[in-house]
Amino acid sequence: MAIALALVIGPAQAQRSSRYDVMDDSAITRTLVFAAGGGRTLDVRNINGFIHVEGTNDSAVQMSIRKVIRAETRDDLADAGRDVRLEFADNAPRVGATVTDTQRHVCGEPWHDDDRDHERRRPHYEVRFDFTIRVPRDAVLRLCTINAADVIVSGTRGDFDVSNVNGLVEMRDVAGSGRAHTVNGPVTVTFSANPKQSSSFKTVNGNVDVSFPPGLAADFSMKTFNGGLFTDFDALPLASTAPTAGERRNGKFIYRVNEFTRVRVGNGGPEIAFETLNGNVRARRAGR
Amino acid sequence: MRMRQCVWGLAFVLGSMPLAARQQADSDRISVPLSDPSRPAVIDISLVQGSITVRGTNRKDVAVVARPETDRPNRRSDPDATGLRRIPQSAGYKITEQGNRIKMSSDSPNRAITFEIEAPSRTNLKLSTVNGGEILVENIEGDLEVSNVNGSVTLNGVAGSVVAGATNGSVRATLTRVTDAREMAFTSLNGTVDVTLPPTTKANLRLQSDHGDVYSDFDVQLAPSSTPVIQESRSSNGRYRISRNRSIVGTINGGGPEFELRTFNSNVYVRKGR
Repeated sequence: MAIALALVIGPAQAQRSSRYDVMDDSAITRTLVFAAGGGRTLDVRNINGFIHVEGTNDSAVQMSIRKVIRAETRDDLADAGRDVRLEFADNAPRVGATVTDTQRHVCGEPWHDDDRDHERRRPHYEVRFDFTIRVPRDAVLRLCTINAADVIVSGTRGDFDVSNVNGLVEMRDVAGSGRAHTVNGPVTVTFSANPKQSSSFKTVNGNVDVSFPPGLAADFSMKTFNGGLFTDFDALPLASTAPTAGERRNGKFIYRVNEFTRVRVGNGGPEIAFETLNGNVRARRAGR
Repeated sequence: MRMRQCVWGLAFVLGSMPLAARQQADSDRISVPLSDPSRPAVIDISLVQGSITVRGTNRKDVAVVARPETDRPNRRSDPDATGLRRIPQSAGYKITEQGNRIKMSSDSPNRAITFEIEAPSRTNLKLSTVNGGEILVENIEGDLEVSNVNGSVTLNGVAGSVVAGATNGSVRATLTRVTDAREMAFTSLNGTVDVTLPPTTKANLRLQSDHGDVYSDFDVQLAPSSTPVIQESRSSNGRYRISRNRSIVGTINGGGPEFELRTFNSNVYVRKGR
């Protein structure tokens, strides 16, 4: 689904100047306030464009958004302004921004379209939002984008669920636990404090490189198809998570040993998964 | 019962692993029950990297020892992994059984796995591998279809019917009994084909070695047509073609189904068993 949309509203860079003659470049700034007494979650769902988040000591979220519309004609530009929406959530435990396109797609939520619909509604414009956000550093993060962009987070302490498709994910000086996933691009994470819950770092085409401060106790579950696994931890091999006996369901007996290589770091602890298809996995001890 | 222990080098294991455990091979033992133990099973394994051994015994289930091998470092080194140790990986795999058909497969074409199997003596086999391994079958009776590309195929004390092929390895087979009226083939490209048949086997042999010799201690009655088989044809563009098949054709014990034994760059041996 994500890829399909990428083809529709994310054409290659080289085509832009020729296809889109009309451009509108604007800036939006918003301050979002967490409601008192709930959790504090920043939730940003983008489609085209980057999300950069920096943790601060402030209590509110500061968003600077650059919105660029490229269209074939003035009318298409007007269509884009109507079709593609940016909505904010404010004064709630969960604040943030959501971009929706003409078919009300939201990044990270299931999309239900049929293909004929795509053909008929092929838009004559492209809308990009680039988010630069300053967030209270203990907020929980839910960040999602799809195209032509990177997701970069620094200096946060909250749990995180970060996803991208066509671009990298980078998290520097972060704490908390969670997921950082993309499809085409590397995932690079540097922890300032070790994750206490299970976490997952995953891409398809790219390296996964995660650095942990001293004192990590965790069970790593690592996998690459074309590439190698590397670490400088004193890791002990663990049995892979296979059943001790096969099981029979609906008349079919199945016994499966998965391809994850499992190792224990320190005394063991939360399961931390590292996965890529084409690339290397590196799990590092910081400060060495 | 299940054991798994990888030996990665001292840094990983010193101190916390008992020495005895460290010396065990990385292996899993799985007992695969048959849906109907009164009928013969089919074991179907297709590998890209690895070896297969199947031994017939007096049992009702199929016992598998799977040994995923740890992989070797990639030729392209990772400059960003300087100062890090490489953690070896091994292939994941799957074993299924449905309606007496047992399938075994590896998740990874890059990482080798060895399957050592004990099966009921009466079992049909369909085994293949490509790289870095051998196929060995012992004391199995059934329909045996076995192929290897860069390794050998060895069938010891088997019975039934056999189609066995190798590209760059030898094919060696000792049959104790043959199924009546079933055609068989033992073929290689660059390896020896060495087949021992029961002395009373009735068969029409088609024997060929392009760059080697054909040997037998059977009393092979060469067919009159064993003088060259000439095929004539005229293609649509009018070209007339005569091809001469260089096979030796003959019968043993009065003739029977056709057994083809053929290699290109080595010898063919047809031996009379005891």
